[in-house]
Amino acid sequence: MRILAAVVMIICLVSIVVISYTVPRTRLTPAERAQAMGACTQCHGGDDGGEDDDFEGGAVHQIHGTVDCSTCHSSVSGMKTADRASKTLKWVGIGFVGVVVAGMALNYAVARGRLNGQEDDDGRPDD
Amino acid sequence: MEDRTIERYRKRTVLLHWVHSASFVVLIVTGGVLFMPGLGPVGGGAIGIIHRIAAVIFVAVPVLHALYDPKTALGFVKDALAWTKEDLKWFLAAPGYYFGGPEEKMPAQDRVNAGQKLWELVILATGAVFLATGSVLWFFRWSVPIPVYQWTLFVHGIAFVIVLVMFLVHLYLAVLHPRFRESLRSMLDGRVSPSYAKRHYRRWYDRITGDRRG
Repeated sequence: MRILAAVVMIICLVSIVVISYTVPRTRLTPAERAQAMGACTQCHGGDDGGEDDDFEGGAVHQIHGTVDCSTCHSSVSGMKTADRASKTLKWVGIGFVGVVVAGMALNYAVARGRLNGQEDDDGRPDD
Repeated sequence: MEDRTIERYRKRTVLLHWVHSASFVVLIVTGGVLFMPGLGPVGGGAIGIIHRIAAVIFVAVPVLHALYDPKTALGFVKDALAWTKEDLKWFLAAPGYYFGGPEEKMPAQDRVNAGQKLWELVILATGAVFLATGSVLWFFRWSVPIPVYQWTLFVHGIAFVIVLVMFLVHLYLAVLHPRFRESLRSMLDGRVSPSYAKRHYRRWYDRITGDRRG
């Protein structure tokens, strides 16, 4: 069984390496990719970066740095919608997590108060 | 603590839980860095690589375990997918109980209660989404159309928010909630006291002890 586990693990790792190097990269050549990696700093940050730097695109900007800006950021494209959706999701997600954490804090305070002094499941009194 | 305890998890299951949890926490942390507004560029380097390594462990460990012990793995999936009316009653009664209300109103549960079933279901469902979308983001990032990449990232983010919230609740109940003091301990040595089993998993307790008095 250990041998089987080792074989499966090796297959997983080899598969990852093989897939990484064989999936066709039709959008960017290595040269284009190198250019793309440097393209971000032309618009975002750097010594003479603009005032409205926006890094939130992150990897997307790096990957598709050679694409015309309007492809992603024109007001009517689906990409613009996705861009906005992702940013909205981030703040909705943060808000959602905040509400849940607040709910757990409230739950802890109430439950601890109501159960105070009762025997715990393992026979010890609640502290 | 009572002298006599009941085995709830086998040692292998406990080990699987913690290895899986460790990779999950790394994914949550690195994923959080990638997800948070303004931290995107950080993810382009080491964080992204660590995220991918943890992702491989997160997928490989349960797969290896399923190959080693398919019966247990199948049981986990069955637990997550088998829902009854009792589970609905449990969810309706749970808010009062979790806020310290009387436990008599809680329907008797089997080895896994309805809340834990939900957590298992979320793990399975979001795991499948993470595997699918993560594969696109990792292996096909250069080949898929830009909108597909962006929307894949969006779906990956939705799954992240859902699993993060559920994880925080899971962590809170296991570590802090005054009604589940034995929960964390049971994930260390795999055992619980009979009284704990009886209170929280009555049907399971009755089955393994042969107690049919209800």
